Amino acid sequence: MQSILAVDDSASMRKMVSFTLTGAGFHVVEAVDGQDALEKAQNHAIDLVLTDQNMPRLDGLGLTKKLREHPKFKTTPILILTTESSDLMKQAGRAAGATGWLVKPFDPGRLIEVIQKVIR
Amino acid sequence: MMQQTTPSVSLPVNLVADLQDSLLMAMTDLKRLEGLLDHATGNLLERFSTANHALGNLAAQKDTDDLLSIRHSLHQAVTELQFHDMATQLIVHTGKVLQGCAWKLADETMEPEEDEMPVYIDPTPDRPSPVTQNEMDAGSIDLF
Repeated sequence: MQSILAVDDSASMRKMVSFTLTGAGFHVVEAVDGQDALEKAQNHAIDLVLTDQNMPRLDGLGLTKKLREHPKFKTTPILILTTESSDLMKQAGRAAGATGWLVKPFDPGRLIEVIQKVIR
Repeated sequence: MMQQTTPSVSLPVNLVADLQDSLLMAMTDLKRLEGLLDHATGNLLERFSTANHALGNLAAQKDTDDLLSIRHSLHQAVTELQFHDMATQLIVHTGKVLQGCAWKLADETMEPEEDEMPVYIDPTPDRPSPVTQNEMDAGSIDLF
């Protein structure tokens, strides 16, 4: 079973993401912010990271940059799921090494489609 | 040569105090709204989980058109149930803007009391609100 690290400081968002992904057959590891995600990423085999942008301690762009520095996550797909929709932020996401930029709210069917497209 | 100065207006102290009271009242109301949203969302998510669990038990028997329809509706609700995250971000941002206004107003108009420690002024957020959505339609997807 493929594992997805779902990172969001909102408990309701984590619940919606988890409901959607487990229903599609993925194993979900939840993290409450970027720092928590970094710690969990070390202890689990992760096939894809789905992260929020605006979070305390470490945001989504910071998390992406830190994960890309690690050989284990050089090619792991990282999707940023956020309310931020400006081109400037999307460019920053791309520069940080993100695989894609998804604007909230997400549609469950479309989220699964995108994940299945990018996950290895 | 005339020296250029920033135009300024003087306000009666009572007016400034009233404005500050109104700003603080709006901030308190926003906090209350945030609490109401948290409570309602917690309950909604609990009902959502119960419905999903019950659906799972029924599906073990046989998939009917009705069950498929309920499951589809539940999946569609996932998009709308994300309102809590967006509303909370908007409330927090608006609260910071109001607080910045209240502190700036005090800083510009009130003389500090003798021996009073200088108050740290939290600047009004220079970033625009992180939430620009006007509706709960699913957002865009960009793959790089």
